[in-house]
Amino acid sequence: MKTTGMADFLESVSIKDKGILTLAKSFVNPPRIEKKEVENLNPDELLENAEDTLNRVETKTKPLEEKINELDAKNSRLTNAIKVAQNLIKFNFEFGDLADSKYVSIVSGKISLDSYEQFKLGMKNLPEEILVEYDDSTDKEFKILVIITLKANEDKISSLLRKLEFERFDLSGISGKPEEVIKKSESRIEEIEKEKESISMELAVISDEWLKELLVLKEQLEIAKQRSEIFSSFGETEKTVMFEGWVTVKNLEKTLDIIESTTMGYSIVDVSDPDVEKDKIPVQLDNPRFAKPYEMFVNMYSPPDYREVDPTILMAIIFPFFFGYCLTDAGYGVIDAIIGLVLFYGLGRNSKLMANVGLIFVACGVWAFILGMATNGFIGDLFPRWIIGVSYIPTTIQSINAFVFPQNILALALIVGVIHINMGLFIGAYNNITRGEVREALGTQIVWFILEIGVVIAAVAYLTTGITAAEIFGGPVIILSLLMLMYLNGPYGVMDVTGFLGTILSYARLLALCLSTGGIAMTVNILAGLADSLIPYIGFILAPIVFVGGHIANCAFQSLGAFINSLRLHYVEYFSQFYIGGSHKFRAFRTKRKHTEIGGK
Amino acid sequence: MVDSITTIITTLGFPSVEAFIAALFLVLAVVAVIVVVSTIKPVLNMFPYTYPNARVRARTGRLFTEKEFSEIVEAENIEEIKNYLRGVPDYAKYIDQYPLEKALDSQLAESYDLIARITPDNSKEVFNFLLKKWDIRNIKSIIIAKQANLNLNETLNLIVPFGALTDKLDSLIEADNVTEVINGLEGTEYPKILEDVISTYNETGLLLPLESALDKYLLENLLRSAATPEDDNTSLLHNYIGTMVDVANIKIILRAKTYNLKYDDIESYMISDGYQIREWKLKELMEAEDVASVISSLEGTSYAPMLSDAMTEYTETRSMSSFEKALDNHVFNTAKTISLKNQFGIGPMIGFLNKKEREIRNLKTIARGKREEGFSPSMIKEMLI
Amino acid sequence: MVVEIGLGTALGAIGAGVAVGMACLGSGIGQGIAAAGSVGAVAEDPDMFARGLIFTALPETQAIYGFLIAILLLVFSGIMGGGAGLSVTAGLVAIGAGSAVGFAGLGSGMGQGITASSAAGAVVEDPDMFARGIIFTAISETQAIYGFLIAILLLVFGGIL
Repeated sequence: MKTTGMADFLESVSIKDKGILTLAKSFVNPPRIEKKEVENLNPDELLENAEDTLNRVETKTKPLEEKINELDAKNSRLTNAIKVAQNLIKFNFEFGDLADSKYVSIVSGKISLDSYEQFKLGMKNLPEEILVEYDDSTDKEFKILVIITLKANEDKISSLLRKLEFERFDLSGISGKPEEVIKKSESRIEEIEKEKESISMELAVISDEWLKELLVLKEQLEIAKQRSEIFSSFGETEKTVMFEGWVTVKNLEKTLDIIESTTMGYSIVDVSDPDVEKDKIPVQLDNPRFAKPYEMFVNMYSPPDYREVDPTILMAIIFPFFFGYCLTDAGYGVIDAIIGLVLFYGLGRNSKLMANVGLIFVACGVWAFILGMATNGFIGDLFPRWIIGVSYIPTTIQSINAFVFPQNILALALIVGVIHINMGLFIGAYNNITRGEVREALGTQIVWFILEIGVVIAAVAYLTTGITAAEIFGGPVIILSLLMLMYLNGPYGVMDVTGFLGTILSYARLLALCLSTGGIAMTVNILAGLADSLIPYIGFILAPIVFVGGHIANCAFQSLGAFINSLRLHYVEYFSQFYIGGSHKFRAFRTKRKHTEIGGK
Repeated sequence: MVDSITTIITTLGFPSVEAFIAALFLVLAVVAVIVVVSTIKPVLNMFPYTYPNARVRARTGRLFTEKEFSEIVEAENIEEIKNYLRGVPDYAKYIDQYPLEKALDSQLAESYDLIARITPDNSKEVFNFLLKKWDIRNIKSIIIAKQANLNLNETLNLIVPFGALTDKLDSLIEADNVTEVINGLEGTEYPKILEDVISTYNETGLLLPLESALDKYLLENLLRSAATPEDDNTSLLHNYIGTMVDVANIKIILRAKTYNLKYDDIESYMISDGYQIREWKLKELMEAEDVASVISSLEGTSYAPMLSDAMTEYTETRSMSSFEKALDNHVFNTAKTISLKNQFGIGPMIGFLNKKEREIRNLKTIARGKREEGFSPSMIKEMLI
Repeated sequence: MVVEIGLGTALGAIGAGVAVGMACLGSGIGQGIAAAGSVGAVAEDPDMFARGLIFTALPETQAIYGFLIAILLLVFSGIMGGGAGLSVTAGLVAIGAGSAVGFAGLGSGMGQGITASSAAGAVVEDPDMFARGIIFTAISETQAIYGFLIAILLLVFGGIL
């Protein structure tokens, strides 16, 4: 614990480079954390080692720390002196004269005007050997008083003042005339600040030297602590220990080998398959590298049940596509992808999380670029407006040109929705059937397939022949599905149809977000254009500012929106079709080494 | 199409299409205003509570969990408890400054102070009165200290640096005797409260009348400040405060009856009115013969069921603690119900204060257990609520 | 730049006004509530800043939708950029579109604001709630999306877009 405190302290005093450039650099190219080789010490040696190091650091920092505290105390005394002196500046007394003497006691302080009236009243009842000096300043709230009285009367005065919220000045250790005091104190404070600065420099040097070592130490102690803590969950007799744990099938052989070799064969291991009904089986997701980052999303919702299909891979394919659909702007896509790359190669170097986020960004950015190029969106209508003479980018697929045929994009969004939902239904049916819950599968998934087939038949029949054909061929299938709904889910089961419809309609948000990106981007362009053409003289300076600022804001907002809405489509619309979840994550007992590595590797 | 619209419009008596559209807009605008006003109103009622509630919920999240409590209970000694609390930012700043008990009280008082500061205006008065609890506690501590001739440091350890009197505390502590303390309070509402009883004190030298006068003042005014609820939130607050006051009253009566005190003996200590137990009922309770008849005349109030449960335990052990536990639990449950029922209003704040009270009480129980010999962790755990 | 504004175009302008006005009213109230909650959360836990900002930003979408519809109306009714004005019927359609996105945004924004502020409180109480908080908050956005959708459909099939 002490190590943590010391490490934090050193971190706080280490000198940080300021400035945007270094900040940016720390994102793009953060220093790689150097791992220090350490030996595998036993806890006692480690503790000794730790105490030793700590003592050494402490002997260096302690005096400096004390000095800083001392300086701070001095500083606050001086500040107080300045304050008092400023208040008493009108009196122009010598402060040394205001100290109590053998017969006379002197009180000075601040009193609010209301209380001052009461004070005057109270004074009438007191002996007359009291001299009250007050400043004739025009301050609306307070009056400064200096009260000079015989020692004998001191008690009476102070009990009167006590009732009246009288703020007494602390004059101890101040001497000289107010103006001099102020001047002197101010210059002294300046000196102290300088002194403090030089001490901080010294501390920073120490920090440079020791911080790394302490972080290493902290990590080692942390690991040792975890190691000793795990014993509390072991069963033991005098001579044996027993423990139970989960291990992934992949690592089983390796684990057995380790146990075998460390115990030199004196161990009994019993391996059994989990009981899916009773055991609370932890789940370890195992996905190819490209899908790995999306495990984060799945776990965020809730890790999947042990016997359930892991939706991560599907999510890894579809999530970026949805993101791209929502953003549909090639320019913004490029920006997002670049941010992703920076994250991956920069911060991602030291943090797995950041690397994963970077990968997600890149995939999303690429999709946004592709879809943006196809739907004529590159930073809004940047190209058609100012750069090339045609009304669309050459790569545009005319029928889904966003602002010409939004209805096509809407249709596409709904089709995507239907496909996505059906995928979910399919997985759900598979899940249910493998568990033997056929009725559940019929009621929550298969019935929708039948309904959809009915609708498709009806639609095709209507388009080819006419309304009667639709009724004859499509009608029975639809009615069948409705009956199934009522039979399987109770009389109100039919109401589920509206819910299902709502789910599909919800995919319309893909279009909404797509248009809102392009629309706002276009607006920014229009405003930039207006600024240039309408505002004289400064217009051509203003226009780029509007342009850049507007697009940065739009890109950030729309990316956030696209991200949240694609996540929502997965969580709310997609997962609800099949996902069970509710298990907990497999957390292996292992050491996390960031600053250290075991020697000999 | 256009022609037919025009004919419809003219048959409706409008001179032209424009006039029709104008009329249409007027109607639309009125509808829109009604819709907007009626939807916004409930939302705006919630609005003042969002900020305090987020802060309060953050603190609720930082309260000790059961697991953390069992870790604290396992501590070897007081120092270890202190070390543990040092690792919790909310407590750290007090632990280093003050002795443990004072640190705990200060933390609790800080919570009251926070709530009184951030709560919306219409419930501010009540929470300010709740905060006065600490003023009154401080005054009581100071008079007791003066009576017992404690020195400055010992007295300071009893004082919690919160409440409206914080500026005055220093001068009060410096006073020489009880009378001077009361003089020092000049300018606040307290001398007036103590006016009547100070003569009794001067005659008998007993502090009890002073203390009970202060308590009475607090409870009475607390109830009064909450008694005119403006909306749901303040009426829930009234419910909570009222339950607290009632419980305090019942406790006094029960305790008096266990000592066989009569109506005249306790009348001056009681507050004159209650929430569920109104004035006449209080009189009836005070006139009751013994504990059992107090319980039976409470029949019909919400306090009856749990008290009759506690009664069976009381007949066995003859100790008040069963009643006190039941009543404290009742306050806790009332607060819990309010906090669950009213998520967007005052609920979270009441729930938090109550939970914090419990946490501090538990921590004190643990500290006491560690200080005295012969309490094993499992015994201490038993005593926690 | 001043355009000769006919009755239809004027109606379109009213539509644009309603769209952006109502949507911003809802979004503003919602965002205010969310911000108040987030500020409270940040006051207790400075690490909440980024997350609080996200929760506060969520009820902005409604305003964006309203703004977008308003801009589309301004452009296609010829007020901005110059072009053919709207017929009276098209103007009425524009009002419909504006009301759709405006009132939808009003309700959705306020609802989302309350949820967002509540979610910020929940997250500061238990950080694991973040993902779920976002989802719950995103749910009340659906209404705004419906409103926006209908507005777009009205513009497309009403012959304005």
